[in-house]
Parts: sequence; C-alpha cells; structure tokens
Amino acid sequence: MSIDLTTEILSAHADQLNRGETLPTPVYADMLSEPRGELDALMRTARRTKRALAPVTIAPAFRARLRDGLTMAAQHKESQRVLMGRHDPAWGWVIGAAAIGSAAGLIAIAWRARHTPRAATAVIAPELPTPPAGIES
Amino acid sequence: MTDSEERLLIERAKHDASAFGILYERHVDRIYNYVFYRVGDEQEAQDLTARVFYRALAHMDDYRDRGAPFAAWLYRIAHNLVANFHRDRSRRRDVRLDEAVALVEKSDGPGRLAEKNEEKNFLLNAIQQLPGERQELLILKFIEELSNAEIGRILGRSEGAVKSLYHRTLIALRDELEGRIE
Repeated sequence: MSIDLTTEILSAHADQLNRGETLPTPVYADMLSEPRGELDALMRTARRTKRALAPVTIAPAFRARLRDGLTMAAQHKESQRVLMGRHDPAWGWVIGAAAIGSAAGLIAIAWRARHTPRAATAVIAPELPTPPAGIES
Repeated sequence: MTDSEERLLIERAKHDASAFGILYERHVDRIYNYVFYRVGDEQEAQDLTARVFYRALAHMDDYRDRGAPFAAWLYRIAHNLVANFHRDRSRRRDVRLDEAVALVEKSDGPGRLAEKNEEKNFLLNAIQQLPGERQELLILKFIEELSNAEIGRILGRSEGAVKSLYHRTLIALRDELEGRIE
C-alpha cells in the first residue's frame, strides 16, 4: 500500500470533515492503485469519530464561579507582588551587607591604629614632606 | 485576536487580573473539552479544568513565548494533570459515558437519542482505550478542528509526524472497533 499517499488522503479527509464537506471516497480511491477497502474502512472510522467527538458545553455556573475565583486569586497575587516591591527583603540584605562591611572596615582601621603606632601615625597624620634644607621642622 | 495581540495580553496577564480573565475566557472551552473527553466525567473535568487555570495563574511569570501558542502551554498543563489523574485513580477506564452522551445530545428526541447513545458509547469507549497522545490528537483534530501544523505545535511534533500519527490512530481505532464487534 502507498502509505504516504494514504496518509495524505486521510489527513485531507479529516480537514474536509471539519469543514463539513463530503468528498466521495471513489475520488480518493482513484488516486490509489491499491484496493480501496482499507481506505474506505479508515475513512468510515474517521467519520464516526467526528460524529462522536462533538463539543460539550461547560455548565455556566461553573464557568462563572471559576472565573470569579481566578480573578480573586490574581488580584491577591498582584497585591502580594506590590507589597513585596515596597519592602523588598532582597534590598534589605544588600544594604545590611554593605553596612556590615563598612563597620568591619572601620573596626579594622581602629585596631591597626591601636596596635601599630607607625601605622597609627600614618593614618592620623600622613607623612609630612621633608622640609627644605636649612629649615627645621 | 492576532498572535501579537495575544502576546501583549499574556504579558499584561502576568500582573493584571482582568487580562488573565480574558485569557481564561478565550481558552476555557477548549481546555474543558480536552479534559472532559480524556476523563469522561463532568465533575472530574470541572475539577481538573479549574486546576489547569489555577496552575497557569501561579506560573504565569514563568511563561515565555517560544513560538508555540499559549494554548499549547495550557494543553501541556492539562495533559500532565490528566496523566496524574489516570495514574492516581484506580478507576482509570471507568468512564461515565452516559454523561458524555447526555451533554452532547441535548437537542435530540428520546428515540433517536437511544440509538445514537449506543453508537457514541461504543465509539467513545474505544477512543478511551487508545494511548493518551492519540486521544489528544483526535480531540484536537475533531473538536478543536485544528490544522496539522497547529496540532504539531501543541504536541511538539512536525506536521508530517502528526499526519502519520493520525493515520496510525485511525488504524488502531478501526482495529479496536472491529475487535469489540468480534
């Protein structure tokens, strides 16, 4: 059997079923050199399936109830997002880390100043330039 | 609504409840039909449909336009929830097809309804025996009436692969129907 051609015919047939068109099977079968029994059976199966799978309608009360629930949930989600934006914990961590780092730096400087006199002098009074000859400091 | 208009709507829906509501209205029918025919029960379908959209809302910030339609993302969520449903429930094949038929054939008279019911029950039972992806294909093809290209974008397959899958699905369904008759 010409599988590719049969596949194409069945695909086109399905699209025609959806459009409500009917094309007699012989037109399709003439395109094949093989016996049409298999094609007839498959197209018949497709027609039955199309008839069986009709759209169902959602109960209006359920549809409305679900929409209301989703709207409330979406509004709650957005209000949470707004609150998080005003008091964003992430920024708090950044600011806190910067403050801790600054404090640690100041503490380190003060410790060095206490334990290293030259260092303290350098910190407190940077080295003065050498006075010109003849002038005492 | 064009694709670009929906993309803008999706971005708005990430932080705007009314925009998400519009997305809901655009897609709830297709998701409900998909879920309903996969599980065959109205109450379960309502529950799963609700879970699809609540999950979508919770993960809207994660959604990225990768060229596939927004519906494809919703179908993936629905697919996973349905798969979990079938895995977790002991009554995997216990579908209430009487409900399925009643919902579909509301306008018919009693006589025709009885005859049509039997045919539909027979066929829907056979469809339910197919693997999940093949059921998805039939639902997208004959209920949503999507093109092979659109189905391919949802299933993550090429257009040619969708055509081949459809052909094999019809063969499997035909065999299932003939097997039930014998």
